[in-house]
Order: sequence, then structure tokens, then C-alpha cells
Amino acid sequence: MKRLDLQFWSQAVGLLAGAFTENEVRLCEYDGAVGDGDHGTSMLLGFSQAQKNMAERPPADIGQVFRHMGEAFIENVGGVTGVIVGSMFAAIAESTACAQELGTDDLCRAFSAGLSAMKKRGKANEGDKSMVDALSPAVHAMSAAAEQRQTPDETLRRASQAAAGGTEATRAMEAKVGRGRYQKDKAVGHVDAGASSISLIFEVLSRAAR
Amino acid sequence: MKKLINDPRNVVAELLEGFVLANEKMVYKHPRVNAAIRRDAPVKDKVGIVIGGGAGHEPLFLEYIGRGMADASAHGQIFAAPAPVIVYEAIKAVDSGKGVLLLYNNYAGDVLNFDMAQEMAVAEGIRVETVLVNDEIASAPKGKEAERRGTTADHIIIKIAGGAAERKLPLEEVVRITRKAIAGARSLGVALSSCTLPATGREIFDLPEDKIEIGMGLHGEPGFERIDLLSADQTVDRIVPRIIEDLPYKKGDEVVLIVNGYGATTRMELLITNRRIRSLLADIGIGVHGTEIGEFCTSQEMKGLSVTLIRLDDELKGIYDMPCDSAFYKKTVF
Repeated sequence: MKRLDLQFWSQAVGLLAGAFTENEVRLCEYDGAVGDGDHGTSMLLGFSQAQKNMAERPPADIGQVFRHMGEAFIENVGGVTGVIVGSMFAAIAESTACAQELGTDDLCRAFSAGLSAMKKRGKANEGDKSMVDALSPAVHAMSAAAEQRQTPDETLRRASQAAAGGTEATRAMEAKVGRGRYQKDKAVGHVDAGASSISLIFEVLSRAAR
Repeated sequence: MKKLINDPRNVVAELLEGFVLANEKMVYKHPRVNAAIRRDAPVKDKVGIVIGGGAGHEPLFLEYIGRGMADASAHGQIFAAPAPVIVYEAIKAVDSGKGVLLLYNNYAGDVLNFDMAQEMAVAEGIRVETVLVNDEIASAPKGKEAERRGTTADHIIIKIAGGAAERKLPLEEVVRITRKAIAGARSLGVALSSCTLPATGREIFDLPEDKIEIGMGLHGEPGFERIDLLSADQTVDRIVPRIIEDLPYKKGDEVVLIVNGYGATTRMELLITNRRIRSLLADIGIGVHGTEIGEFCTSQEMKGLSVTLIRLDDELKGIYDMPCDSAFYKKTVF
């Protein structure tokens, strides 16, 4: 088990950029089923830019790591993905400002703030076939883990599992937000690309925390 | 995919660079972001008009900057909305103190990013209003107009907003006039083939060689119906009555008619199509005040066309007839 300190989160940015490099094509294919097929490229662009931001302005606390990610997505990615993912990271950054290490309760608070920001900005709710459908179960799993006083690494493991389950559940959903909503029932049968990305983020964090 | 491009990641920056070089006296590129800005902006006492959206639809939006037109255009990647910072920098560059109108198409990504930019600018004390274009009737049923996407009506809506601003009308008047023009605008198109994205090189939807799709969106959003290839006249008969019924346009109405090619449609086809459209309008007694034929709102190398009607009252007619001077769209008055 690793401490979720500044070094952990700083390294996580590089790990995320690596994971999205590997999964870029797969995520683009998911998006291509209902959209124009650039979601994986957008996610990779965001994390690559975040890596650059980190190198140019080394973070002094965990809040700054998330701020770099938020700025990278909001300022460089554009589209729906940029603003939604960027708003999530920006809210997490506010919640973790000045922190040098995150415990289970801190994780919970931070990602819960991220979920609220995502829902507000994207005007999306659970069941709309979006990133919310992965992030919301992950946040619930984290809250449950916190009540049971689980360790941070176990909390991330459960969040990752819940996000993966939530992503799979989007397969049966009709899209109600974003460009996918124009595809109506044509989207049914495909997992949501955005939810898959959120799931991948938790998978990377959970693996790194072990 | 066969396209004359360089690194696909650079297409937007490079097309912007090429455009600015061709129009150096009229526009400049913002030093930090992918926005093109009118060289004499902010124009004293004039409301600033900021347009924009995903790239890949040229000449929209870029080439509509100029006198009597827009003041700046904020560009995203191909088919992806511009990031908030791009729109925000465009707003700052064109605000004369009289406020700024954000005029763009009703897509989820654009609304998210422009809204965020508006919040940033308003926080600095700039007056900013938003007007969304939503002319495409296949994207949501009648009664749910607010959910409809914007398309080719931009070609004239930008001119109307730009003309109102050129008259030095206050922001609320520019908003009112622009909204009135949009309320009377309806579009519907037909796709004959898909387009390919520079980044992936793949067609974004499958459309068999002998099929066409009525109402297909600019980014492959599904339309009303997929049918066998028809003649030009038969295709018009499937499109134009739906447009007329939707508003509805009535006997005695006067409109601007736009026949728009999606990127790989010959001018020959557009002109052939125009005859039949005119005869259908004449049957009902709808007058055509102005006709615009060409490529305005494209989707890469997609084959097909769209038809737009915009109803004009005397006020809108006056603005439509005003001279304007942008790289793509010019109107002279003798």
C-alpha cells in the first residue's frame, strides 16, 4: 500500500497519460459508435498537456496537481470532454488545495466535489449515458468504504470496481445528453466512451496505489 | 482517406494561418489561441459579435469576419467546440464597452464552452449575451425547437447580427433582431455520402452507394429517413415541403433562400436543385427576396446539400440588403 502523497499524485499524471496513449484507439471506437470518434484523442491530449504543465510548473501540493489537469482539459481540449473532465478536476483541485497527502475521507470529499461539478456543468444525471454513470457509483463506493474506515488503496480499488460496473451498465442506456442523444436507440448496445474514460482513470489510480 | 494535409493534429492551426495570410488587411490571429479577429476591433461604440465552433465547416465560421459581419471567430478542433479560453480571448479582443454577442450553433459542446467563457468575461465586467442558432428541423420535433441544432442559417444570421451591430444599435436590440431572424429560419438537408475526419481518416458513418439520408446532420447525426437515391426534383420534393410546413411559411411571406453544398457537391447540382425549389415556393406564393447558392456550411468532403429559408420582415430586409465585407461574403450597394 502506498501513501497517497504529492509524489503519488504527481506520478499518477504520467501514468494516466500512458494509459490513455494505450487506450486512445479503443476509446475513439466507442465514441465512433454514436459520435464522431475523437474522444480518446481528446482525453490523451488533456493528460499529455497536464504532463507538460507539471514539468513547467512543478506542483507544491496535491491541489496544484489537479489544477494542472483541470487547466489542461479546460484550456487545451475543447469539445464536451474538455469542459466536463476539466470541471471535475478543477473541483477536486479546490477540495485538495494545500494538501500533502489524501486519506480516505479526503478522497471521498474530493471526488464527490468532482461529481457535483460534472453534473452541474454537463447538466447530466445518473442514467443519461455519460461520464456521470461511472463517476457516481465510484463516489458512492468511496463513501461506503469511508464509513467502514477502509484504507485509501482499498477505497480506490472499490471505486474502480464500481466505475467499471457503472460503465458496463451504460451499454443498455439510451443517451440523453451530448451528441449521442441524437442517435437515440442506436446508442443502445454500446458502452459510453466518457464513462469508459472515467473507469480507466480509477483503474490507473487503484493499480498505482496498491 | 485522400486529403492534402500535414500532421492531422495541426490542421486547425494551419488552416487558420493560411486564412490570415490571405486576408492580412482584414484579420489577425490571436497570438495565443485559435481565434481570428477583425483588425480594427474593437470598433468604437459597436457591439462586438463573436462567432465560432468546431472547425472543418469552412467557410464557416472563420471567413465571416469583417465589416457588417462578425468581429471574431473562435475555433475548436475539427468538429469539436472551442475551449472557453479561446472564446474568452475573442470576447476581450472585440469589446468596445458596448457589450458582446456570442452567436453560435446549438450543440452541447459549444454551449458548455461558450457558457464558461461568458461567465469568465462577465466576471470581469464585460456585458455578454448569447443567441443560439437552431434552424435544423430534423434534429428535434416541432415543439422542441430549443433542442434543435444550428446549421446553414448561420450564413445569413451572422450577416443580420453583424448588420444590426454595424448600425451601432445597443446590445439588446442586436439580440432582439438576431433572435427574430432565427425564429423565422428553417433548414433541412440531404446527405449522399459520409465525410472523413483528418485525425482518424475514417468515414464517420456508413451510407451505401445507392442510398441517401434526408436530415442527416453535419457530423453524421441520423436524419428523418434513409431512402434510395432520387432525382434532384424528387429530392427537393422530400425536403422543401417539410421546411415550409414546419414554420409554417405562408403565402405572401418573403424569404432569403440558401442552397448550400456540403463540401463535395457540384455547383451544377445546386443550381439544378434551385429551379425546383423556386417552383415549389411559387406554388404557395412565397416570395424570394434574396438567393444564396454555394458552399457555406460544409462537412469536409461530404456529398449532399441543404436548403434554408429565412423569413424577412421590413426590418430584416433592410439589414440583409446592407453592404458587408468579409473574406467570404461581400455585398456591395451601388
